[in-house]
Parts: sequence; C-alpha cells; structure tokens
Amino acid sequence: MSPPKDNLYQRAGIDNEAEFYRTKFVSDEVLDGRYFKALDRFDIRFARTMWVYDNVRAGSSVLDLGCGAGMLALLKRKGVTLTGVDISDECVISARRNGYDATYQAKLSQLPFPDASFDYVVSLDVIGHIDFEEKDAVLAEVKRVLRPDGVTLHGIECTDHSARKNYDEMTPEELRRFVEIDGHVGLETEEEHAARFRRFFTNVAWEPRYALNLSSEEFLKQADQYGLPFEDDFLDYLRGLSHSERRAFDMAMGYVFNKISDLNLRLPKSGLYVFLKAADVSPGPFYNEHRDRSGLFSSDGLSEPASDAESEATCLDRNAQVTFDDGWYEPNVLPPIARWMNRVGRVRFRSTGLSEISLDLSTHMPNLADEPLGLELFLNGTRLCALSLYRHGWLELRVPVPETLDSTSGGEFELELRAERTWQPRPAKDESRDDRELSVAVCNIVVK
Amino acid sequence: MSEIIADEEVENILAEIRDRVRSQGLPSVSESTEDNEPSGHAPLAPRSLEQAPNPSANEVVAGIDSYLTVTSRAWDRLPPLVSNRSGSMARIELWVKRQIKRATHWFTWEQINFNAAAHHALRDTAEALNANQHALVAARAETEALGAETDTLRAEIESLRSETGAQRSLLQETQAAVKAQGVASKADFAQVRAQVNARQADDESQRAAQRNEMEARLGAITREMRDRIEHLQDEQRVCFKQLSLEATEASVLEDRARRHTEKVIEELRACLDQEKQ
Repeated sequence: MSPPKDNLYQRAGIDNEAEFYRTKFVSDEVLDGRYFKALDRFDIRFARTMWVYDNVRAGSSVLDLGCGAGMLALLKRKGVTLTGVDISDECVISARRNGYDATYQAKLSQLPFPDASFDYVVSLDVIGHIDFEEKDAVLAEVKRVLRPDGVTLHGIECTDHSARKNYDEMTPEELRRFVEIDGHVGLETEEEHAARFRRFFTNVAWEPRYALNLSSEEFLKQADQYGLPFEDDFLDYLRGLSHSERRAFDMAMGYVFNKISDLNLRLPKSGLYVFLKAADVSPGPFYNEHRDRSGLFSSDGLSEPASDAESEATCLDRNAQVTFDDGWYEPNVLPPIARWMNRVGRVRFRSTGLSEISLDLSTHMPNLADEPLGLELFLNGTRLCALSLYRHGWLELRVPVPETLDSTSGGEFELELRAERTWQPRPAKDESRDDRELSVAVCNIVVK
Repeated sequence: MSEIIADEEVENILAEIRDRVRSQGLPSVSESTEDNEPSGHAPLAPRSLEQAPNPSANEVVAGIDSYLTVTSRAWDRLPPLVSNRSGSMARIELWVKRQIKRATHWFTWEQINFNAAAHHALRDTAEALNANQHALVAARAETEALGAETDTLRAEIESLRSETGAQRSLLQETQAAVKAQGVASKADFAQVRAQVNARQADDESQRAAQRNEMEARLGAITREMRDRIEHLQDEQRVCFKQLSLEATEASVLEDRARRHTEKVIEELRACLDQEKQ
C-alpha cells in the first residue's frame, strides 16, 4: 500500500484532532483502578488492558502512549509508575483523574521525556490513528524513551486490503465517512505494522486478535459502520439484548478471549486488530509474561489488618477486599464518583467491631415528589432501616448496627440495598443504547 | 388838418389800449391761483385746475395772442403822422401833429414803455397760460391714464372681490365641513377614548396577570435556584467527603508504606549487625 502524502485528517474535514479525540474518549466513565471490579477482568472491554496487565512487571515504569481517558489505569493495581501522554488536554486531565501518576499533553512524535525513561511503552488503539508520514517518527520516539531492556506493547487496529479500499482509492466522501467513525488515518495490515516495527526493534512478535471475540457493541459497529458481513439475524439478536444481557455476552466473549491467550492459540488474520510486542532484548512469552492478578483482589496495604487508629472508619468504595456484586453498575463521575445500583445491590466486606454504616445516596428518578422511591437497607439479611426518597439531591444516611448483628457475624458482612423500582435514563435514545435499570447512586460507604 | 386827425386817431387808439389794459389789468399768478373767482375785468385770467379742462380755455389763449399782436404793434412802433387834408392844410396839420408829438413825447414815451411792459406781461402770462394749458392737458392725460388704471384696479378689485366672495363661500363651506368633521371627530374621539379606556383596563388586567405570572415564575425560579443551590451544596458536601476519605486512605497507605520501609530498614540493619558480630 502506498500511503498518501497529504494529511488524511484534513482531507476528512477534521481540523482539530485533539478536540476530535476528546469527543471520542472523554466521558463520565471511571477507569480508576481503585474502582475496578475483579469480575471485569473477563469483560471483553478490558481484554486489551488485561493483556498489558499480564505482560508488565510489577513496580516497573510504564508510558501509555495516547492515553485517552486512561484505559490502562488498572495497571496501578500492579504498583507500576504510570505516565500518560496525549494530544488532547482534556484526555490528559481525565487520565490524571483516573489515577495516572503523571500525564502530559504532547505530540506523540515529540515526547517530552529523556532517553531511556521507561520499562514499557504501551499503546492501545493509537498506531492506527497516526498519519503515515508521522508513524516512523513516533516509533523512533518510542525507541528513544524506552530503556534498552524495555519492551513495547501495542494493540493496533488493522485493515485488510483485499476487503477494504485503500485510502487513495476512496472518494473524498468515503474517506470523510471512514475517518469520522474512529479517526483511523493510518490503518495497515498486520504484516505492514510488524515490518514497520522491525525497522526499529530487533524482536517483534504479533498476534491477530478479535477475529472471534468482539463485544456486542463492536459487532454492531463493525457491521453498521465498517460494513463487515455478519449474519443479519445475529445482528438483530444483538440489537435486542438488554444491558444485562449485553454484559453477559461481553463477559462470555472476554472469557473466551482470555482463554485463547492463556492457551496461546494463534488465530488467523482478520484484518481487524493485532497485538504487537517488540523489544531489542530477547522477548518473553507473548501472553502472561508477568502474570500476577493478586492486585485485582486486594489493593496495596488495605488487605492488611488496619491499626487501631485506622479501624475507626473504613471507606468501602475503593477497597479491593470489598466485593460489589453485579447489582452495581460501573462507577460514574456524577460528581462525585458514585455507583449506580440496579433494583438490588449487595456489598460484601469484612470488618471487626461494626457499629455504624453511613453512606451518601441520590437518585435522578423522575416524578419523585409524586411517587417517592422506597428503599430498604439490610445487613446480613436483617433489615436495618427503610426510607423513602421524595426529592432529588444527596442524602447522607447513617444507620447504627445492632450489637447482636456484629457479634454473630464473625466479621463477615453483606450489606444489601433494595429499591422499590428502577427507571431507564435514556430508554428512547437508540444511539446511547443505555437501557440500564437504575435506582440510586451510592458513594462514600463508610463502616465504623 | 389830416395830421391832426391822424393824431386824434392815434390818441383814440392809445386811449382805447390804455383803457383796455387798465380794465384788463393782469392780476398776479398767485392771486389768480389763490382767488378762483372769475374777474369781470379779466376774462383771460387763468382759472383753477378744475376749470382747466374747459375747452374754451384754448380759445381764450388764442384771444390773448390776437390781443398781443395789437399790443405789440402799439408797443414797437407809433402810428405814422397822417392827415386827410391836402395841401397846406395838410402840412400845417402834420406840422402841428409833429409839434404835438414832440410836445407829448414825454407822455407818449412813458405810455409806450407802459405798453411795452403790459405787452411783455401779457406775453409772459400767455406763455404761462400755455404752459398751464399744456400741464393741464398732461394732467388730464395723466388723470385719464390714472382713471384707466383706476378702472383697471377697480376691475381687479371687483374680480378680487368676487374671488374673495368665492373663497369666502368656499371657506364657509370648508368651515361647515370642518365643523361637521369636528363633530364626527368628537364622536370618534369619544369612541377611541372608550376603546382606549377599555384597552387600558385590559392592559391593566393583563399586566396584573403578567405580574402575577412573573411573580409565580420568579417564585418558581427562586425555588429552582434554591433547589439547585441546595443540590450543589449537597454535591459539594459529598465530593468533599469523598476527597476527605481519599485523603485519609492516601495517608493510611503512606503511613503503611513508611512503616513497611522502616521495618525493612530495621531488618537490614539487624542483618548488618548480625554480619558484623
């Protein structure tokens, strides 16, 4: 493929790349590793993140190239020093808010770091967004800031020249529509990507991925926007899935994705996506080189018994020992950062000497004044209180725990919230497909 | 003898002239102009301007001219000495007349001078009369012209008067129309005033309704703002609480890391001590 010489962003009518990517990646989603639910390691949405997670060494330094809103924030659970760089200032702020140790706004071909600064330089869904003219400069910068024994890991979108037109074959309108979807101005085949990396690194390994496993959302996007030929009845089935069904589908897909990695199965080329690992040192295994998932189940120090001073109050929101079941949706920045609950949500935690539970809760449910929302709070199956929300805004709830419950629990507790009803935030908006069944948003769950 | 007769004739002529002059003694111009009464002894005296247009005035002037031929004759030459006798009688007579002529020269000379003065006076008077006559003619012509102009003016005045009459009638009509319009306007005005009053009443009621609505909206906005502020304050409270909890967690982690580091250092120190021993 002969890459066109002019800027494809400009040809596609995108004048401000930073603003374009801000609209694509910045949202109210919380990617902060402290809020990561261990069960989500199977979610296909985090499959790329988990590949990187299992390939970086604990305590190393990692540069996230084109960090976006901070998709690699989970790496903090491995104790790495995580640095992000992006062309969008809002993405930089968002990544910093999601727990990156440092973030910088810069062009990827002019990284603001000294030579040999990082053990790993990682990018997910970035190389396919870099213009052909700039790609070599970016890879040169990657090599410069990477330590000599460092490894660079990339998840890259690909193309298949036999199935898709090259950029110089597209009409201006086709090009505009194609680039507008995701901003892909530098798609190449798996081999072309590998060849480009070989010009800079001695050892380059790559594996085509996502040939089998895609999220339900990605299936529909590839069919609707990129024109990939999936069966119509299958697509109709996917369109009809509810949020919880889509999550089940994505979990199953993610589980299989991880198993393919674990079994080191090589998939055929799909022209969709490639994992690429490059280094000047001899490469380790392509998958799970530094697999250690213990951090997903306990956060630093918090697994240790708290001292007397610390045991006065413990917040459960960011505690890895605490399990939020699937009645809770992923956290959102409302603000503050809170978890939306389905009709019933449970939180399992350990504690000694529990005397009080406090939490802040709110709801956006309409018609609250006419029809207050009834709530019940249970601890280990015993109802602690019942209340009705009749106005919007935040309610600070403090519930004393009977001594009998504390003494009979053996330090194991399950806090359960039950809402009388739920509502869907944007049920009529097809674009968002946000058909979550929401009741209340909860945060600052503190146990004493 | 013939010479005597001739002298007598001369005397008669002179006497006649003298009488005529005396009887026609010319009054001064000022007198004649001031006194308009005709003089019985001065039929040729100028008349007043009002009488000047009389057509007999030219004839009177012509008579004065004829008289002046006589007076001039009497003035510039004396009658010759003649006699109707013949022979010695005639010579004697002429001699006597010559003697008498010489003897009365002092008188005749005076008479001649008087005649000359009278002649000159008459001539000047005639000239003055002629001038007056011309002036009168000019004045008459001017008067006639003025009369014509006056007639024209009168005609114009008449036309103006008729026009004024027409305009007056038009004005009266207009006045009547205006008066009618005034009456109609007054009725309209009353109607408009009634409408305005009604509109004003409507406006008042609308304004009152709007005021009520605005107050209601203001109240609603105030409530909404209060709710929003309360919501924001709630949100801030929860956010600050979250930040506080995160800060506490960070300090706990830091404290644990410090203790862990101190513990490791202690262990290293213990190892070093053991190695030294």
